[in-house]
Amino acid sequence: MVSYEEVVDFAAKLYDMANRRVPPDVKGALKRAYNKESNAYAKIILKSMLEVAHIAEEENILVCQDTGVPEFFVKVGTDFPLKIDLKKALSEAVAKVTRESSYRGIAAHPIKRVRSSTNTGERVPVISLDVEYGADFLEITALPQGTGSGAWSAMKVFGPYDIVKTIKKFVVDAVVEAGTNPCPPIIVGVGIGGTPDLVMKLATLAIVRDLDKRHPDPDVANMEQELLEAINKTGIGPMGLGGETTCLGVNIETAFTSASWNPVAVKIQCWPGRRATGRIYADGRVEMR
Amino acid sequence: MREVRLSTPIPKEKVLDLQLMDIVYLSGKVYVVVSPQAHMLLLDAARKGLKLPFDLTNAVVYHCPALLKESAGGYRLILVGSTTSSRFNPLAPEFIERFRISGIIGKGGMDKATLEACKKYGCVYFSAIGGASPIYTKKVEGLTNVYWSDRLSIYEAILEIVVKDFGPLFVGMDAHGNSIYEQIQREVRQNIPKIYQMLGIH
Repeated sequence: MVSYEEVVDFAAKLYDMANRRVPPDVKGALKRAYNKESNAYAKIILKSMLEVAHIAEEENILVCQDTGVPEFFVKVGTDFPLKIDLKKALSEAVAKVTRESSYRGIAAHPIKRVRSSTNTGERVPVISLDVEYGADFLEITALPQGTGSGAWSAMKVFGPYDIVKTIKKFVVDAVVEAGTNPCPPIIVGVGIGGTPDLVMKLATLAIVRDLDKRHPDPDVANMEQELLEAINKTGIGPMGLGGETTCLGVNIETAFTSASWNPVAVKIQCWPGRRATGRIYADGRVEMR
Repeated sequence: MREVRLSTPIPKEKVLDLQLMDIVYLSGKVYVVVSPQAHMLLLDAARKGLKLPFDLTNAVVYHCPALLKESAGGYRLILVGSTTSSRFNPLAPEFIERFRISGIIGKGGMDKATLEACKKYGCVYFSAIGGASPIYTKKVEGLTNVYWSDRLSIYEAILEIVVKDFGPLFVGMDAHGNSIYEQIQREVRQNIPKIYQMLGIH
């Protein structure tokens, strides 16, 4: 049986790991962008970003001072004996990392604006739960939502007309509106369909997805590619200082929606694309990627 | 493309010599002023004619929410990194005028009024790469002073740090009224119709 302490330790490691590396797929996308980029300044910036990824990996240094508001996506296998207070364990994991790694208090009260020195508070860490039938593991994805990696989001419920055009325009406009703020080259997550609350979650799940994985529906996969090429024609460039590399990848997630309306959400993630996923199995084995 | 190495404080003639997108490496003292509260306390002191415990003339100010570790003798600097500067837009013009600073390090650029103050009083905006704490932290030699931690929380206090070859920093706004951010924005606006067309929007 996996103990409370083991889950705290596992979640803490994941959360800290998310903040201390550039995931391999993001690093790959940066390398490809660096090789393709022809703007000399943009190339210098991309090279520095690759250097950041390298140093973070070699020396286990935090990628960004903005370690963000902690969010966890949790998948519980129905064969995993979850007998602990999971919410408490995740809060404790965040507080432990904040204390031991000297993170800044980023999380704050929404109205009084008082900071939490533990980065925990009402409904924070943000926890999303899902279930996987027949699995004997607890899977957690840690997603630190900093200013560049969380604030630049947009959501709108459209009518049932000009579906594809409307989606594309909304995405491009959101990217242009965000401009230099989210630390480009950005990763764009798009949610299409569902309900207004689900669509934002879909956009968030989209930025969590591996950049090298396309949507299974060829039409949607095609839209991902088209949007990526279009965004890279804006000229925003790395850090908004100009160039051909504005975006490292566009991921779309979809869900059935009402026949009368269509929600669309955009979630913009900063260039380091911080996230980490891991599994703890019923027998105590741990995997992280 | 020009690479420039400068020591702080930066005399005004050197500020005026800087051109848009010069790649700058700084050495010397840099002041971390990263909260609206710290900006306002400083402005308040200046309006009252009070003397500051440090001299900001020709100084470089850094929009850096640093990570500090409290230890027996005070604080140790763990990490630096640049934050979005636009939230200091409302305070920057008076700040530049009152203190005659020579540079601001941050990310994302600042507004027209700040650009005008830069031109009028001789100041530039240095764009740092965001999310690049490992490379910039390596260029910091140490934390030499923490100011006003009695009046401000440690997240908001003013820090004096010493840097060596701190960069790459890109001159994003010069002291002659030019801003790379304005230029790029213009280009992006011009590119939009082409992009809509590519996507079959219009």
